[in-house]
Amino acid sequence: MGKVLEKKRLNEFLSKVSKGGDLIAPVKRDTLRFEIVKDFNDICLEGRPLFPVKKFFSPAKEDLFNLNLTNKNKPFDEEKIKLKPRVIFGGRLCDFNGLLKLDKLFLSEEYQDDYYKLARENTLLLGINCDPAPSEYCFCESMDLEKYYDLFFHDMGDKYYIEAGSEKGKTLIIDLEDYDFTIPSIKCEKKLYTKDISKYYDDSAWDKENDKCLSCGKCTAHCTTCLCFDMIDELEADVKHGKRFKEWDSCQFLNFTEVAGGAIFRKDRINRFKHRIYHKLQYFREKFDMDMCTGCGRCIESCPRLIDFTEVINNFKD
Amino acid sequence: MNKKLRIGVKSITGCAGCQLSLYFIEDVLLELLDKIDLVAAPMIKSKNEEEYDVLFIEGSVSSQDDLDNLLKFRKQAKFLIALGACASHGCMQSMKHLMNEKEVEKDVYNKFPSDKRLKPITSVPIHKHVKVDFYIPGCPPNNEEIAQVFKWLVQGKRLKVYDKAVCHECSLKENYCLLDQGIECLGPLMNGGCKALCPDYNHPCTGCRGMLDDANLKSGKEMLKDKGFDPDMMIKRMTKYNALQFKEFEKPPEESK
Ligand code: SF4
Ligand code: SF4
Ligand code: SF4
Ligand code: SF4
Ligand code: SF4
Repeated sequence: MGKVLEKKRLNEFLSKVSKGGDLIAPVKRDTLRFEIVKDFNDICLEGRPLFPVKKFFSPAKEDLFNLNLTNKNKPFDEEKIKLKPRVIFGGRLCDFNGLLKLDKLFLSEEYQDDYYKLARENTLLLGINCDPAPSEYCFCESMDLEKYYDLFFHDMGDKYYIEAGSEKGKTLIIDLEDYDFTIPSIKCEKKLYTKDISKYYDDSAWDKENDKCLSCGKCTAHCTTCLCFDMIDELEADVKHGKRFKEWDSCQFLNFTEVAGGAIFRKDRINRFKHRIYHKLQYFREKFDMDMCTGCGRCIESCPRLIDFTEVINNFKD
Repeated sequence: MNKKLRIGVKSITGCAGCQLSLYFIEDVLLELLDKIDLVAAPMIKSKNEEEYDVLFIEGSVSSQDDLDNLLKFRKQAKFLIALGACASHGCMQSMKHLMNEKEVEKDVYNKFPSDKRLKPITSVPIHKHVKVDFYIPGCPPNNEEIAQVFKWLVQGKRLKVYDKAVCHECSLKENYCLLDQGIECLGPLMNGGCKALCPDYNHPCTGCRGMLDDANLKSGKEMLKDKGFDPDMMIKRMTKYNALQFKEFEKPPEESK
């Protein structure tokens, strides 16, 4: 059983839960983006931002440490990030499932990313249900999403039904009125018929979509779960000062797999395309026992050629 | 301490804007004065030497004089850098590759029939005549990037040109894609490194840094057609800086296997 909140009390509720921190929500300017909200009236729940929330946990460009060789005692100075507590409101189930996948990686003992961890620990996730699906490219219904959020809102016309998904979430709504309701599951027009693609690496269905690919990297930049990055060292002219930073990269680029000596492992575009999809549906599963894809469809929607890997998979010959 | 690097800047047919961009990094150049000697920089000094460790060349080969000079420069330089769009990709001068060369020449040069210097040759980027060791593309090239190259040179690091599509930097900035707003952006086909300067200001990319090495021109054209843009206009846009590359993508030259 959950709780209920009248819509006219939403802003009051959001301002209470985000007190002393930042509220992040979809805001519409030229287009819809997740932003730090300055005016509650800017929040827009019509549609779904094409850019996912990963940037709040691992920004497109992030400094890691500064180098100063003139300071003998402390030549390396790690970037200290100070983070205000944050509340993301209006994320969709796929957005937060994207974080679930990234958590598997960046909160794991083996690959823990301290910056990511700090950002995760300081952020509350308040989702909103999709009824109907906001984009024709959504296919999350096929992707077994989990209830991964602190709170989840469902629009009931003049009020929201709210369900807690964590202990923290429960305390946020403890004062609200009880309400008995079951949130309907999300329905999508688009479907992915199978997620087991291991036998189809050489299927001819890959070619048609791949021929359209421009290797522009928009699919991965917009993907809810892609966080591949390049590590870059920059030295000042004096060769004493510098910094190391990371910047998002993409396996769709020709030189992503370049190694010392100049060899490139995935020269052919088709191998890059296949790598992207196999990473999402097979390699990640082999490690973490879940898909890396949330079915958000952003890779399709953002692609200049609307390249759709569900079309490939749904057309494998049996 | 190592010997200072002998740096030169030379120009063939171009607008001199690339050279100018190089001098705009005066703060970095000053910092590097104990590591480099600017031995040739005709735009800012009158006494210029020859023989270079590193030579920057701006402009495309567009006359017999250009070609003679370029061949001489190559012999004088240990490491040669193509600076800017003309030297790297041919730029506007090379639009002739898609026109009837004789007619273009008649229109322009017949006005001065007696001046032999004005006899043009087929305009090409410098790598068509000499070995080029590194490229700094762009019209004009970005001064931060030039500064970076200077730092790498004095540090002895391997130089690296930005080789991802314009769309990448544009997406990292969360720009609202111009293609989704009905504007004919060529970002998916073009080399970035400009930090998506044009799309950032809602101006479509026309590819001043050249086409991607693996640009998918066929799909790019289909994309523009699907989105309803005038194909002739699009070819004109695509070839403003990159006529030669465009031509070679359409019909790869024999020698490239
Ligand atoms: S967005 Fe589309 S065209 Fe660009 S790299 Fe991805 S699949 Fe290829
Ligand atoms: S692969 Fe595509 S559908 Fe899957 S999470 Fe990434 S953007 Fe969404
Ligand atoms: S699909 Fe490519 S860019 Fe995305 S996470 Fe996998 S390897 Fe990285
Ligand atoms: S993929 Fe599912 S959860 Fe995500 S926006 Fe679409 S319908 Fe909502
Ligand atoms: S505006 Fe242009 S450069 Fe930016 S993402 Fe769209 S097509 Fe690419």
